[in-house]
Amino acid sequence: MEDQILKFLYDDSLKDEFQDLDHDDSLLELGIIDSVKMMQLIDFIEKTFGITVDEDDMMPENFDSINAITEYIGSKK
Amino acid sequence: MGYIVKEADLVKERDIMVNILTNNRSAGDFDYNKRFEWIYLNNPFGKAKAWIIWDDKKNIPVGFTGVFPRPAYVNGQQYMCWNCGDFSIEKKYRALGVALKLRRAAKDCIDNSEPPFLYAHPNERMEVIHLKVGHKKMAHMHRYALPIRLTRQVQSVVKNSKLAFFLAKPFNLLLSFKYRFSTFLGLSGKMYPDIQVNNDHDELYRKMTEAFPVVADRSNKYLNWKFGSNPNQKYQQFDLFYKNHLVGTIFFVHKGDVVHIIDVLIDDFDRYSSQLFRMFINYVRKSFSRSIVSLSFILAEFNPFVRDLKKLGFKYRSDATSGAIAYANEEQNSELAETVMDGKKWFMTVGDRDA
Repeated sequence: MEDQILKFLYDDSLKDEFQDLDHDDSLLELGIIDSVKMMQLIDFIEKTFGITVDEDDMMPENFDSINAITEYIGSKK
Repeated sequence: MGYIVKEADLVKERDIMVNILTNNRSAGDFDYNKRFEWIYLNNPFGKAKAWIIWDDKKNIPVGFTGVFPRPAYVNGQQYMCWNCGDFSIEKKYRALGVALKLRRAAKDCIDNSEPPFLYAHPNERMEVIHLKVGHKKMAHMHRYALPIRLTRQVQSVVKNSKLAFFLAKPFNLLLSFKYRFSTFLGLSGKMYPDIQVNNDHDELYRKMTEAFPVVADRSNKYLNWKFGSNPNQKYQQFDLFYKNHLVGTIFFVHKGDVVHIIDVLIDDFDRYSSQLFRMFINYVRKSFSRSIVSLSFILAEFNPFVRDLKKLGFKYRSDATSGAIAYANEEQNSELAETVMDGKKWFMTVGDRDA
């Protein structure tokens, strides 16, 4: 699951950020995710993992790191 | 755990908002504090309104947005609307849910008829948030540019600046003739180093409210505030007269070797539109000597001036990235909503943005 998410998020212009990325690192602070990228990520997660992401869940706590995202997906399955 | 949007106290929470802007926008020596005073507190049509979104658990502000009241004429009737601006969220909180929550604050007011509609000029990324909450995109903002001297183009080929200057000279002379001998008799112009508007400008605005279905305020009161009192930008003005009667005005800024047209007032559009720009070009050439090489104007794709700009040789440039959006509640006033959410009805320029 982590690899699928990382592959989706990967952006060549941010390759330095991805190189040493820890799964607890803040994706928002690193600029890997912003509100627009999150919209695409949510679409990807809903299609790939078969869950529905409520608007109230689209908050930093659930999407700020690879671990937070996988934990969130796990909780919805 | 959650995020709460609260209406801001413009006086007590001013520092919070200024700090968020300063932290999240890179505009060099731009003074956000002075701007706050100007656009939030000294707006001639009433104080602005702002909302701050708080991280409820930590009790810290994580973003805010503002709306600026501005009258607008829609089909000849005056309404007060909101011009949205300053949407800003701290980097580590830029999650979609936070952005949507904050963006809905102004829309909720419109749905409660306070005021009847809003408009904004979001960039490409922000536009997605507007659309997601239900605002409607009504137009793209397009930039048009006109070279009035070819020295820069020649220099890019020959490299030597002195040689480029001499080689470009005959082309520059030809370009000057293009506009110099194509204005009709009785026209004259005047350049001002600052903003000098009076009742004649009010009259031009009044005529525009009759000529265009949707036109936001361009009265003396507004122009003096928007262009005359802006703490971070010095605007200049060009007036066009026909037999000593004011028939058009251009508000502009001069940055480097480019004159940026910001807004326009016009009397009889069909009669004076092209003449206004031709005379302006002649006066720019004369007033700024050789220091200006091009003119630039960002306006909505449907603005009627676009046709004349193209005829004058202005070329579309793809580097203006904002769109124009609007929102009115269709259930409450379907006719108004239909009109203000149709970009073809608006007379819109970059001057309609916040500044």
